[in-house]
Amino acid sequence: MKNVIIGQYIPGNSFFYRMDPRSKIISLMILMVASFILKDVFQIGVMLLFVFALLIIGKIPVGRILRGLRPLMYLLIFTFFFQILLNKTEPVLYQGTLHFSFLSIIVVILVYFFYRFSKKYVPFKMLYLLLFIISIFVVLINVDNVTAFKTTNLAIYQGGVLMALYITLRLVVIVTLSTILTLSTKPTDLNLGLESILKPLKIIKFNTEELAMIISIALRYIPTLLDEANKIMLAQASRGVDFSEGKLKDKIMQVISLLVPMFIISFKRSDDLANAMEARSFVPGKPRTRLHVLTWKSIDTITIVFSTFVFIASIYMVVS
Amino acid sequence: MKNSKIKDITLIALFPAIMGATSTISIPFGGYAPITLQTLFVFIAGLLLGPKKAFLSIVVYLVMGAMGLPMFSGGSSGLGVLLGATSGFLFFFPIAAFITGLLKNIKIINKNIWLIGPFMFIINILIYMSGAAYLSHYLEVSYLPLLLSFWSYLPGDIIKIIAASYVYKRMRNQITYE
Repeated sequence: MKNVIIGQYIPGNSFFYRMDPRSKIISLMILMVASFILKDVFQIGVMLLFVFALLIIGKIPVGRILRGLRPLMYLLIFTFFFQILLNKTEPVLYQGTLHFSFLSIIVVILVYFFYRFSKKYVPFKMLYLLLFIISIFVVLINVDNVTAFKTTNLAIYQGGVLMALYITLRLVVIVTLSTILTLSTKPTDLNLGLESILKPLKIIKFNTEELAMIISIALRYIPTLLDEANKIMLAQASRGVDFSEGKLKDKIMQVISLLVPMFIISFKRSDDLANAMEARSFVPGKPRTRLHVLTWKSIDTITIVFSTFVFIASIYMVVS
Repeated sequence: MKNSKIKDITLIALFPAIMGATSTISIPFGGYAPITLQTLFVFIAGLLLGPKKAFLSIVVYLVMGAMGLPMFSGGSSGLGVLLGATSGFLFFFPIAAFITGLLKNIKIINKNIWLIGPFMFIINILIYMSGAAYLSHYLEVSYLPLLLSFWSYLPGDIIKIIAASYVYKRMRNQITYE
Protein backbone atom coordinates (compact mmCIF):
# COMPACT_ATOMS: atom_id res chain seq x y z
CA MET A 1 0.00 0.00 0.00
CA LYS A 2 2.95 2.30 0.53
CA ASN A 3 3.91 2.63 -3.11
CA VAL A 4 0.56 3.50 -4.58
CA ILE A 5 1.31 5.22 -7.86
CA ILE A 6 -1.15 8.00 -8.05
CA GLY A 7 -2.53 9.51 -11.20
CA GLN A 8 -2.03 8.94 -14.87
CA TYR A 9 1.60 9.98 -14.78
CA ILE A 10 4.02 7.61 -16.53
CA PRO A 11 7.76 8.20 -16.28
CA GLY A 12 9.64 9.06 -19.43
CA ASN A 13 12.31 11.30 -20.85
CA SER A 14 10.92 12.96 -23.96
CA PHE A 15 10.78 16.74 -24.29
CA PHE A 16 7.35 16.88 -22.63
CA TYR A 17 9.00 15.81 -19.40
CA ARG A 18 11.66 18.48 -19.56
CA MET A 19 9.14 21.27 -19.89
CA ASP A 20 7.90 23.48 -17.11
CA PRO A 21 4.31 22.62 -16.03
CA ARG A 22 3.35 26.27 -16.43
CA SER A 23 4.28 26.37 -20.09
CA LYS A 24 2.55 23.04 -20.64
CA ILE A 25 -0.71 24.31 -19.12
CA ILE A 26 -0.56 27.62 -21.04
CA SER A 27 0.12 25.98 -24.40
CA LEU A 28 -2.63 23.42 -23.69
CA MET A 29 -5.06 26.32 -23.18
CA ILE A 30 -3.91 28.02 -26.41
CA LEU A 31 -4.25 24.81 -28.44
CA MET A 32 -7.71 24.08 -26.95
CA VAL A 33 -8.97 27.54 -27.89
CA ALA A 34 -7.46 27.05 -31.34
CA SER A 35 -9.35 23.79 -31.83
CA PHE A 36 -12.57 25.46 -30.69
CA ILE A 37 -12.13 28.19 -33.30
CA LEU A 38 -11.91 25.72 -36.20
CA LYS A 39 -15.17 25.37 -38.09
CA ASP A 40 -14.57 22.61 -40.60
CA VAL A 41 -13.92 18.88 -40.60
CA PHE A 42 -10.81 19.29 -42.70
CA GLN A 43 -9.34 21.93 -40.39
CA ILE A 44 -10.02 19.68 -37.41
CA GLY A 45 -8.40 16.85 -39.37
CA VAL A 46 -5.25 18.94 -39.78
CA MET A 47 -5.33 19.62 -36.04
CA LEU A 48 -5.71 15.89 -35.35
CA LEU A 49 -2.67 15.15 -37.51
CA PHE A 50 -0.75 17.80 -35.57
CA VAL A 51 -1.74 16.24 -32.23
CA PHE A 52 -0.77 12.82 -33.58
CA ALA A 53 2.64 14.20 -34.56
CA LEU A 54 3.00 15.55 -31.00
CA LEU A 55 2.27 12.06 -29.65
CA ILE A 56 4.92 10.48 -31.85
CA ILE A 57 7.57 13.14 -31.14
CA GLY A 58 6.82 13.00 -27.41
CA LYS A 59 6.93 9.18 -27.39
CA ILE A 60 3.62 8.95 -25.58
CA PRO A 61 1.92 5.54 -25.74
CA VAL A 62 -1.28 5.76 -27.79
CA GLY A 63 -2.91 3.05 -25.65
CA ARG A 64 -2.96 5.36 -22.64
CA ILE A 65 -4.54 8.11 -24.72
CA LEU A 66 -7.29 5.71 -25.79
CA ARG A 67 -7.86 4.81 -22.15
CA GLY A 68 -8.40 8.50 -21.43
CA LEU A 69 -10.95 8.64 -24.22
CA ARG A 70 -12.91 5.63 -22.97
CA PRO A 71 -15.41 7.50 -20.74
CA LEU A 72 -16.32 9.63 -23.76
CA MET A 73 -16.85 6.75 -26.14
CA TYR A 74 -20.55 6.08 -25.52
CA LEU A 75 -21.33 9.75 -26.00
CA LEU A 76 -19.19 9.96 -29.11
CA ILE A 77 -20.88 6.96 -30.71
CA PHE A 78 -24.36 8.24 -29.82
CA THR A 79 -23.74 11.75 -31.13
CA PHE A 80 -22.16 10.31 -34.24
CA PHE A 81 -25.26 8.27 -35.13
CA PHE A 82 -27.73 10.96 -34.10
CA GLN A 83 -25.99 13.49 -36.30
CA ILE A 84 -25.88 11.09 -39.23
CA LEU A 85 -29.56 10.16 -38.89
CA LEU A 86 -31.04 13.55 -38.02
CA ASN A 87 -28.93 16.14 -39.82
CA LYS A 88 -30.41 16.61 -43.28
CA THR A 89 -28.11 18.88 -45.24
CA GLU A 90 -27.81 18.11 -48.95
CA PRO A 91 -26.34 16.42 -50.95
CA VAL A 92 -27.49 12.85 -50.35
CA LEU A 93 -24.71 10.33 -49.98
CA TYR A 94 -26.71 7.14 -49.67
CA GLN A 95 -30.34 6.15 -49.89
CA GLY A 96 -31.82 2.85 -48.85
CA THR A 97 -34.87 1.25 -47.30
CA LEU A 98 -35.09 -0.43 -43.90
CA HIS A 99 -37.32 -3.52 -43.94
CA PHE A 100 -38.95 -4.60 -40.72
CA SER A 101 -40.26 -8.14 -41.05
CA PHE A 102 -40.43 -11.10 -38.71
CA LEU A 103 -37.39 -12.69 -40.26
CA SER A 104 -35.20 -9.59 -40.16
CA ILE A 105 -36.19 -8.81 -36.56
CA ILE A 106 -35.29 -12.36 -35.55
CA VAL A 107 -31.92 -11.95 -37.26
CA VAL A 108 -31.38 -8.65 -35.41
CA ILE A 109 -32.14 -10.34 -32.09
CA LEU A 110 -29.71 -13.14 -32.95
CA VAL A 111 -27.03 -10.57 -33.81
CA TYR A 112 -27.72 -8.83 -30.50
CA PHE A 113 -27.27 -12.02 -28.50
CA PHE A 114 -24.12 -12.85 -30.43
CA TYR A 115 -22.85 -9.38 -29.53
CA ARG A 116 -23.81 -9.78 -25.86
CA PHE A 117 -21.97 -13.07 -25.44
CA SER A 118 -18.94 -12.44 -27.61
CA LYS A 119 -18.34 -8.97 -26.13
CA LYS A 120 -16.16 -10.38 -23.36
CA TYR A 121 -13.59 -11.84 -25.70
CA VAL A 122 -13.01 -8.83 -27.92
CA PRO A 123 -10.21 -6.38 -27.04
CA PHE A 124 -11.61 -3.21 -28.65
CA LYS A 125 -15.09 -3.02 -27.12
CA MET A 126 -16.06 0.34 -28.53
CA LEU A 127 -15.12 -0.53 -32.10
CA TYR A 128 -17.09 -3.74 -31.61
CA LEU A 129 -20.14 -1.76 -30.48
CA LEU A 130 -19.79 0.42 -33.57
CA LEU A 131 -19.57 -2.68 -35.73
CA PHE A 132 -22.66 -4.10 -34.01
CA ILE A 133 -24.76 -0.99 -34.70
CA ILE A 134 -23.66 -0.90 -38.34
CA SER A 135 -24.41 -4.60 -38.75
CA ILE A 136 -27.98 -4.03 -37.48
CA PHE A 137 -28.50 -1.48 -40.25
CA VAL A 138 -27.00 -3.83 -42.82
CA VAL A 139 -29.35 -6.62 -41.71
CA LEU A 140 -32.40 -4.34 -41.84
CA ILE A 141 -31.53 -3.17 -45.34
CA ASN A 142 -30.68 -6.49 -46.92
CA VAL A 143 -32.58 -9.33 -45.23
CA ASP A 144 -36.06 -10.30 -46.43
CA ASN A 145 -37.31 -7.52 -48.67
CA VAL A 146 -40.50 -9.36 -49.55
CA THR A 147 -42.64 -9.92 -46.47
CA ALA A 148 -41.80 -6.69 -44.70
CA PHE A 149 -44.77 -5.25 -42.80
CA LYS A 150 -43.15 -1.87 -42.39
CA THR A 151 -40.55 -0.07 -44.43
CA THR A 152 -38.71 3.13 -43.59
CA ASN A 153 -36.55 5.22 -45.82
CA LEU A 154 -33.00 5.73 -44.72
CA ALA A 155 -31.04 8.56 -46.24
CA ILE A 156 -27.57 9.64 -45.21
CA TYR A 157 -26.68 13.20 -46.09
CA GLN A 158 -23.21 14.59 -46.57
CA GLY A 159 -23.82 17.42 -44.08
CA GLY A 160 -24.72 14.93 -41.37
CA VAL A 161 -21.60 12.84 -41.87
CA LEU A 162 -19.34 15.90 -41.90
CA MET A 163 -21.01 17.37 -38.79
CA ALA A 164 -20.75 14.05 -36.93
CA LEU A 165 -17.08 13.73 -37.80
CA TYR A 166 -16.50 17.35 -36.80
CA ILE A 167 -18.06 17.02 -33.34
CA THR A 168 -16.39 13.71 -32.50
CA LEU A 169 -12.94 14.70 -33.80
CA ARG A 170 -13.00 18.00 -31.90
CA LEU A 171 -13.74 16.22 -28.61
CA VAL A 172 -11.04 13.66 -29.37
CA VAL A 173 -8.49 16.43 -30.02
CA ILE A 174 -9.31 18.30 -26.82
CA VAL A 175 -9.27 15.25 -24.56
CA THR A 176 -6.07 13.95 -26.17
CA LEU A 177 -4.33 17.26 -25.52
CA SER A 178 -5.33 17.24 -21.85
CA THR A 179 -4.29 13.59 -21.53
CA ILE A 180 -0.82 14.46 -22.87
CA LEU A 181 -0.55 17.02 -20.07
CA THR A 182 -1.61 14.64 -17.29
CA LEU A 183 0.49 11.77 -18.63
CA SER A 184 3.72 13.73 -18.71
CA THR A 185 3.38 15.81 -15.54
CA LYS A 186 3.47 14.65 -11.94
CA PRO A 187 0.39 15.70 -9.93
CA THR A 188 2.55 17.72 -7.55
CA ASP A 189 4.19 19.62 -10.42
CA LEU A 190 0.82 20.19 -12.00
CA ASN A 191 -0.40 21.58 -8.70
CA LEU A 192 2.53 24.00 -8.49
CA GLY A 193 1.99 25.08 -12.08
CA LEU A 194 -1.72 25.65 -11.54
CA GLU A 195 -1.00 27.71 -8.46
CA SER A 196 1.37 30.10 -10.19
CA ILE A 197 -0.84 30.39 -13.28
CA LEU A 198 -3.96 31.19 -11.24
CA LYS A 199 -2.14 33.84 -9.21
CA PRO A 200 -3.75 36.79 -11.05
CA LEU A 201 -7.06 35.66 -9.52
CA LYS A 202 -5.91 37.30 -6.29
CA ILE A 203 -7.57 40.46 -7.57
CA ILE A 204 -10.97 38.87 -6.96
CA LYS A 205 -9.88 37.61 -3.51
CA PHE A 206 -9.43 34.01 -4.66
CA ASN A 207 -6.49 32.61 -2.78
CA THR A 208 -4.71 30.17 -5.07
CA GLU A 209 -2.05 29.28 -2.53
CA GLU A 210 -4.70 27.85 -0.24
CA LEU A 211 -6.21 25.83 -3.07
CA ALA A 212 -2.78 24.42 -3.95
CA MET A 213 -2.17 23.64 -0.28
CA ILE A 214 -5.49 21.82 -0.01
CA ILE A 215 -4.75 19.78 -3.14
CA SER A 216 -1.28 18.80 -1.98
CA ILE A 217 -2.56 17.80 1.47
CA ALA A 218 -5.31 15.74 -0.15
CA LEU A 219 -2.71 14.06 -2.36
CA ARG A 220 -0.72 13.11 0.70
CA TYR A 221 -3.82 11.86 2.52
CA ILE A 222 -4.80 9.27 -0.08
CA PRO A 223 -2.13 6.62 0.67
CA THR A 224 -2.46 7.27 4.41
CA LEU A 225 -6.20 6.73 4.29
CA LEU A 226 -5.83 3.56 2.23
CA ASP A 227 -3.45 2.31 4.89
CA GLU A 228 -5.89 3.17 7.67
CA ALA A 229 -8.78 1.50 5.85
CA ASN A 230 -6.69 -1.63 5.54
CA LYS A 231 -5.93 -1.56 9.26
CA ILE A 232 -9.58 -1.10 10.19
CA MET A 233 -10.58 -3.98 7.91
CA LEU A 234 -8.02 -6.24 9.57
CA ALA A 235 -9.22 -5.12 13.02
CA GLN A 236 -12.84 -5.86 12.13
CA ALA A 237 -11.85 -9.21 10.61
CA SER A 238 -10.09 -10.16 13.82
CA ARG A 239 -13.38 -9.50 15.61
CA GLY A 240 -15.13 -11.92 13.28
CA VAL A 241 -16.48 -9.74 10.47
CA ASP A 242 -16.39 -11.55 7.15
CA PHE A 243 -16.08 -9.07 4.30
CA SER A 244 -16.28 -11.56 1.47
CA GLU A 245 -19.55 -13.27 2.32
CA GLY A 246 -22.98 -12.49 3.63
CA LYS A 247 -26.26 -11.17 2.34
CA LEU A 248 -26.73 -7.69 0.94
CA LYS A 249 -27.97 -6.37 4.27
CA ASP A 250 -24.93 -7.74 6.09
CA LYS A 251 -22.63 -6.24 3.48
CA ILE A 252 -24.17 -2.81 3.93
CA MET A 253 -23.74 -3.06 7.69
CA GLN A 254 -20.11 -4.08 7.15
CA VAL A 255 -19.45 -1.05 4.97
CA ILE A 256 -21.03 1.19 7.62
CA SER A 257 -18.91 -0.50 10.30
CA LEU A 258 -15.92 0.59 8.22
CA LEU A 259 -17.15 4.11 7.63
CA VAL A 260 -17.55 5.33 11.21
CA PRO A 261 -14.04 4.44 12.45
CA MET A 262 -12.59 5.61 9.15
CA PHE A 263 -14.16 9.03 9.56
CA ILE A 264 -13.18 9.30 13.22
CA ILE A 265 -9.57 8.43 12.42
CA SER A 266 -9.36 10.75 9.45
CA PHE A 267 -10.83 13.66 11.40
CA LYS A 268 -8.31 12.99 14.12
CA ARG A 269 -5.55 12.95 11.53
CA SER A 270 -6.61 16.25 10.05
CA ASP A 271 -6.74 17.71 13.54
CA ASP A 272 -3.19 16.49 14.23
CA LEU A 273 -2.02 17.89 10.93
CA ALA A 274 -3.56 21.28 11.68
CA ASN A 275 -1.84 21.35 15.06
CA ALA A 276 1.48 20.35 13.55
CA MET A 277 1.21 23.05 10.91
CA GLU A 278 0.31 25.60 13.53
CA ALA A 279 3.22 24.54 15.71
CA ARG A 280 5.52 25.15 12.74
CA SER A 281 4.01 28.64 12.38
CA PHE A 282 2.19 28.06 9.16
CA VAL A 283 0.11 31.15 8.49
CA PRO A 284 -2.30 30.90 5.55
CA GLY A 285 -1.81 33.64 2.98
CA LYS A 286 1.71 34.61 4.06
CA PRO A 287 4.49 34.29 1.43
CA ARG A 288 6.46 31.06 1.66
CA THR A 289 9.57 29.62 0.07
CA ARG A 290 9.48 26.31 -1.75
CA LEU A 291 11.41 23.08 -1.80
CA HIS A 292 10.90 22.59 -5.52
CA VAL A 293 11.21 25.75 -7.56
CA LEU A 294 9.90 25.79 -11.10
CA THR A 295 12.47 26.89 -13.67
CA TRP A 296 11.59 28.44 -17.00
CA LYS A 297 13.87 27.15 -19.76
CA SER A 298 14.28 28.07 -23.41
CA ILE A 299 12.25 25.02 -24.47
CA ASP A 300 9.25 26.51 -22.65
CA THR A 301 9.49 29.81 -24.53
CA ILE A 302 9.82 27.89 -27.80
CA THR A 303 6.72 25.82 -26.98
CA ILE A 304 4.62 28.87 -26.14
CA VAL A 305 5.73 30.65 -29.32
CA PHE A 306 5.04 27.53 -31.34
CA SER A 307 1.53 27.03 -29.95
CA THR A 308 0.78 30.72 -30.51
CA PHE A 309 1.87 30.14 -34.09
CA VAL A 310 -0.58 27.22 -34.35
CA PHE A 311 -3.28 29.47 -32.90
CA ILE A 312 -2.62 32.20 -35.49
CA ALA A 313 -2.51 29.58 -38.24
CA SER A 314 -5.91 28.24 -37.20
CA ILE A 315 -7.39 31.77 -37.22
CA TYR A 316 -5.92 32.23 -40.71
CA MET A 317 -7.46 28.92 -41.83
CA VAL A 318 -10.91 29.95 -40.60
CA VAL A 319 -10.78 33.46 -42.10
CA SER A 320 -9.45 32.55 -45.54
CA MET B 1 -9.78 30.04 18.13
CA LYS B 2 -7.18 32.12 16.40
CA ASN B 3 -6.04 30.02 13.51
CA SER B 4 -9.12 28.02 12.64
CA LYS B 5 -8.24 28.57 9.00
CA ILE B 6 -5.52 25.91 9.11
CA LYS B 7 -8.05 23.49 10.53
CA ASP B 8 -10.42 24.38 7.71
CA ILE B 9 -7.71 23.68 5.14
CA THR B 10 -6.95 20.22 6.52
CA LEU B 11 -10.64 19.39 6.82
CA ILE B 12 -11.41 20.46 3.26
CA ALA B 13 -8.52 18.32 2.02
CA LEU B 14 -9.95 15.31 3.84
CA PHE B 15 -12.98 14.58 1.68
CA PRO B 16 -11.31 14.61 -1.74
CA ALA B 17 -8.78 12.19 -0.29
CA ILE B 18 -11.46 9.84 1.07
CA MET B 19 -13.39 9.98 -2.21
CA GLY B 20 -10.20 9.30 -4.13
CA ALA B 21 -9.25 6.40 -1.88
CA THR B 22 -12.66 4.75 -2.29
CA SER B 23 -13.16 5.58 -5.97
CA THR B 24 -12.16 2.09 -7.07
CA ILE B 25 -15.22 0.66 -5.28
CA SER B 26 -17.80 0.85 -8.03
CA ILE B 27 -20.34 -1.49 -9.55
CA PRO B 28 -20.95 -1.05 -13.30
CA PHE B 29 -24.68 -0.64 -13.66
CA GLY B 30 -27.01 0.26 -16.48
CA GLY B 31 -25.73 2.16 -19.46
CA TYR B 32 -24.65 5.49 -18.11
CA ALA B 33 -23.46 5.78 -14.54
CA PRO B 34 -22.01 3.08 -12.29
CA ILE B 35 -23.02 2.79 -8.63
CA THR B 36 -20.36 4.44 -6.48
CA LEU B 37 -19.87 5.76 -2.98
CA GLN B 38 -19.47 9.31 -4.32
CA THR B 39 -22.98 10.53 -3.46
CA LEU B 40 -22.62 9.06 0.04
CA PHE B 41 -19.50 11.14 0.65
CA VAL B 42 -21.10 14.22 -0.88
CA PHE B 43 -23.89 13.97 1.68
CA ILE B 44 -21.54 13.20 4.55
CA ALA B 45 -19.35 16.17 3.55
CA GLY B 46 -22.39 18.43 3.64
CA LEU B 47 -23.44 17.08 7.03
CA LEU B 48 -20.06 17.09 8.73
CA LEU B 49 -18.37 20.18 7.26
CA GLY B 50 -21.24 22.60 6.78
CA PRO B 51 -22.19 24.35 3.54
CA LYS B 52 -19.12 26.42 2.59
CA LYS B 53 -16.42 23.93 3.42
CA ALA B 54 -18.35 21.05 1.85
CA PHE B 55 -18.82 23.02 -1.37
CA LEU B 56 -15.11 23.84 -1.56
CA SER B 57 -14.09 20.31 -0.76
CA ILE B 58 -16.19 18.78 -3.55
CA VAL B 59 -14.92 21.44 -5.98
CA VAL B 60 -11.36 20.46 -5.05
CA TYR B 61 -12.38 16.86 -5.72
CA LEU B 62 -13.47 17.77 -9.26
CA VAL B 63 -10.29 19.82 -9.88
CA MET B 64 -8.15 16.92 -8.72
CA GLY B 65 -10.06 14.58 -11.00
CA ALA B 66 -9.45 16.90 -13.95
CA MET B 67 -5.76 16.94 -13.05
CA GLY B 68 -5.57 13.26 -13.86
CA LEU B 69 -5.78 11.70 -10.41
CA PRO B 70 -7.91 8.57 -10.14
CA MET B 71 -10.80 10.32 -8.40
CA PHE B 72 -13.84 9.33 -10.43
CA SER B 73 -15.77 6.07 -10.52
CA GLY B 74 -13.62 3.01 -11.08
CA GLY B 75 -10.41 4.98 -10.73
CA SER B 76 -10.96 6.90 -13.95
CA SER B 77 -9.81 10.46 -14.35
CA GLY B 78 -9.11 13.29 -16.71
CA LEU B 79 -11.00 15.86 -18.67
CA GLY B 80 -12.68 13.08 -20.61
CA VAL B 81 -14.83 12.21 -17.58
CA LEU B 82 -15.74 15.83 -16.94
CA LEU B 83 -16.92 16.14 -20.54
CA GLY B 84 -18.39 12.64 -20.65
CA ALA B 85 -21.81 11.18 -20.01
CA THR B 86 -21.83 11.49 -16.22
CA SER B 87 -20.64 15.09 -16.00
CA GLY B 88 -24.18 16.33 -15.32
CA PHE B 89 -24.09 14.39 -12.06
CA LEU B 90 -20.55 15.45 -11.20
CA PHE B 91 -21.12 19.18 -11.64
CA PHE B 92 -24.12 19.10 -9.34
CA PHE B 93 -22.22 17.42 -6.48
CA PRO B 94 -20.81 20.66 -4.97
CA ILE B 95 -24.25 22.27 -5.01
CA ALA B 96 -25.78 19.17 -3.44
CA ALA B 97 -23.19 19.25 -0.65
CA PHE B 98 -23.86 22.97 -0.14
CA ILE B 99 -27.63 22.47 0.15
CA THR B 100 -27.16 19.55 2.54
CA GLY B 101 -24.93 21.69 4.73
CA LEU B 102 -27.47 24.53 4.75
CA LEU B 103 -30.28 22.18 5.74
CA LYS B 104 -28.23 20.66 8.53
CA ASN B 105 -27.75 24.07 10.08
CA ILE B 106 -31.51 24.52 10.55
CA LYS B 107 -32.20 23.98 14.25
CA ILE B 108 -35.20 21.64 14.10
CA ILE B 109 -33.48 19.36 11.62
CA ASN B 110 -30.26 19.38 13.59
CA LYS B 111 -32.07 18.25 16.74
CA ASN B 112 -33.76 15.35 15.04
CA ILE B 113 -31.40 14.26 12.31
CA TRP B 114 -33.70 11.70 10.68
CA LEU B 115 -35.83 14.61 9.50
CA ILE B 116 -33.15 15.38 6.95
CA GLY B 117 -33.74 12.08 5.15
CA PRO B 118 -36.62 13.31 2.95
CA PHE B 119 -34.69 16.47 2.10
CA MET B 120 -31.65 14.47 1.07
CA PHE B 121 -33.99 12.34 -1.04
CA ILE B 122 -35.11 15.52 -2.83
CA ILE B 123 -31.49 16.60 -3.31
CA ASN B 124 -30.79 13.17 -4.76
CA ILE B 125 -33.62 13.65 -7.24
CA LEU B 126 -32.08 17.02 -8.11
CA ILE B 127 -28.78 15.26 -8.83
CA TYR B 128 -30.65 12.88 -11.17
CA MET B 129 -32.35 15.82 -12.85
CA SER B 130 -29.04 17.56 -13.46
CA GLY B 131 -27.48 14.37 -14.81
CA ALA B 132 -30.48 13.70 -17.04
CA ALA B 133 -30.47 17.29 -18.31
CA TYR B 134 -26.90 16.95 -19.51
CA LEU B 135 -27.42 13.48 -20.95
CA SER B 136 -30.63 14.41 -22.77
CA HIS B 137 -28.97 17.48 -24.22
CA TYR B 138 -26.04 15.41 -25.38
CA LEU B 139 -27.89 12.41 -26.74
CA GLU B 140 -30.82 14.49 -28.00
CA VAL B 141 -33.22 12.20 -26.18
CA SER B 142 -36.36 13.59 -24.55
CA TYR B 143 -35.86 14.56 -20.94
CA LEU B 144 -38.56 12.85 -18.92
CA PRO B 145 -38.23 9.22 -20.05
CA LEU B 146 -34.51 9.46 -19.42
CA LEU B 147 -35.11 10.83 -15.92
CA LEU B 148 -37.61 8.06 -15.20
CA SER B 149 -35.07 5.47 -16.36
CA PHE B 150 -32.91 6.40 -13.37
CA TRP B 151 -35.43 4.84 -10.95
CA SER B 152 -33.26 1.72 -10.69
CA TYR B 153 -30.61 3.74 -8.87
CA LEU B 154 -33.08 4.78 -6.16
CA PRO B 155 -32.86 1.81 -3.73
CA GLY B 156 -29.08 2.11 -3.54
CA ASP B 157 -29.28 5.84 -3.03
CA ILE B 158 -31.87 5.51 -0.27
CA ILE B 159 -29.47 3.14 1.51
CA LYS B 160 -26.71 5.71 1.03
CA ILE B 161 -28.90 8.46 2.52
CA ILE B 162 -29.68 6.33 5.56
CA ALA B 163 -25.98 5.49 5.94
CA ALA B 164 -25.01 9.16 5.69
CA SER B 165 -27.46 10.22 8.40
CA TYR B 166 -26.35 7.29 10.57
CA VAL B 167 -22.69 8.24 10.25
CA TYR B 168 -23.50 11.86 11.10
CA LYS B 169 -25.54 10.80 14.12
CA ARG B 170 -22.66 8.70 15.42
CA MET B 171 -20.01 11.29 14.62
CA ARG B 172 -21.41 14.61 15.70
CA ASN B 173 -20.85 14.09 19.41
CA GLN B 174 -17.16 13.55 18.80
CA ILE B 175 -16.62 16.29 16.29
CA THR B 176 -17.31 19.83 17.32
CA TYR B 177 -15.95 21.80 14.44
CA GLU B 178 -19.25 23.44 13.52
